[in-house]
Amino acid sequence: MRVVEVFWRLWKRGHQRYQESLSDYMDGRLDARDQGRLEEHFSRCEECVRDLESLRATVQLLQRVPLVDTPRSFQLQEMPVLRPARPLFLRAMQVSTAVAGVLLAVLLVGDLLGSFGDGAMPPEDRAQVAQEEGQLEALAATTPPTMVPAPSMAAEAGEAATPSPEGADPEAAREPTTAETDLSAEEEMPQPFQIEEGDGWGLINTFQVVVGALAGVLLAATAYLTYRRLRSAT
Amino acid sequence: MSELDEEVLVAQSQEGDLQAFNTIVQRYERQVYNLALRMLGDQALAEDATQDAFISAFNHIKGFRGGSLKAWLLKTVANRCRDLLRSAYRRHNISLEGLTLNAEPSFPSREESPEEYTMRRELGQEIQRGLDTLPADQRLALVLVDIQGLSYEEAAESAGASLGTIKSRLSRGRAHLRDYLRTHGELLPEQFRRRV
Repeated sequence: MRVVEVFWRLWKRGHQRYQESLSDYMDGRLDARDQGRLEEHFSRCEECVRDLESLRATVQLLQRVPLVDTPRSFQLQEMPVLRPARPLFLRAMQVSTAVAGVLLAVLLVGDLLGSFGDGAMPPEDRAQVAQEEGQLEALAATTPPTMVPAPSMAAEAGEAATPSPEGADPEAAREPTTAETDLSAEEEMPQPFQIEEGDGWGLINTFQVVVGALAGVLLAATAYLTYRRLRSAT
Repeated sequence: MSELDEEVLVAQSQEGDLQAFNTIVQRYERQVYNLALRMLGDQALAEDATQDAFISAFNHIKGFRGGSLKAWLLKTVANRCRDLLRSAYRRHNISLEGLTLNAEPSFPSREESPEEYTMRRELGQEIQRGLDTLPADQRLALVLVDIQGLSYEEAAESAGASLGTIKSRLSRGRAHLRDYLRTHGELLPEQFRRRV
């Protein structure tokens, strides 16, 4: 049963190809080999013979369709005026659409590749960030973990948590410890990662916004011009 | 008009000679108008397309580099028809299928009886209805080759397509039209009913 089905499909496909070549056959546009194959197919397929006849009749009918007389003369009475506006308009639209497309593509590819992230930072800035990072790590290594309280705790720790021993010089007691000095230094030091990264992103975001806005303006202009064109055509 | 005459007229037209160009118009206006009429199926639109095509042809005749002038003119009007069909489709102002061909064919010749003339006219109208159901590219191929009698090569030049494309469009267009005529055969004049 399956073999019959496969055979039937193959025959149908071949039959379809022959059907498509009937028009060329009728006009004598088939090469000798294809013509021979089709004629051989005719001997086995009555449907193709019938279709060839009806196709031939259709073409004969078309050939009998009369030519209509012109209702008037189309001779030009005066020198026609050139209309350059349309090609110029179309060219402007094409250019603006192409530019907008390129801008959007740059934006998209850049976003996908992540080149608008750290990669966009200039090398000298990157070196500076790395240097600051190294300093911070060295600082963290020399400071015992217990001596680095959280900034919020540092204020409370001043009096309540570590009362100064009696008789001690209050001024000396107020002298900041190494840890406190380091802590205050850390507090005063801007957080390099966040700020630098933030600044970088800020710049990049500005770039992205400008490119996106430019592309948007171009696309909007194209849409507006198209709308005007359609309105004037009606 | 011989080929030599035509070359001279083209050269004069390229120099801006309107009278020479009008001689060319007179020679080909019937074929150009008939192509527009079969493509658009409306007399007024066909008139506009024909006039626009000749104006455009005059403006661009300096770009004509030899070959078949007829094919070049037919290409100009075919492009204009495509523009009109596209804008009509876009604006939905014109239902192309609803258009009927109200133009009269050539007046009967001395050999043709009034009955034959009427039959020929009815046949033209019914064929036009069938043509209107075809995609524009297939319709153009059929009109150029089967109605206007152009060779495949000239039709390819007029349609701005390759020879293979024209053959393919012609094959599909003929098959579609045959199917249309099979289902609407009763609308054909009696003489032609049993042929398809």
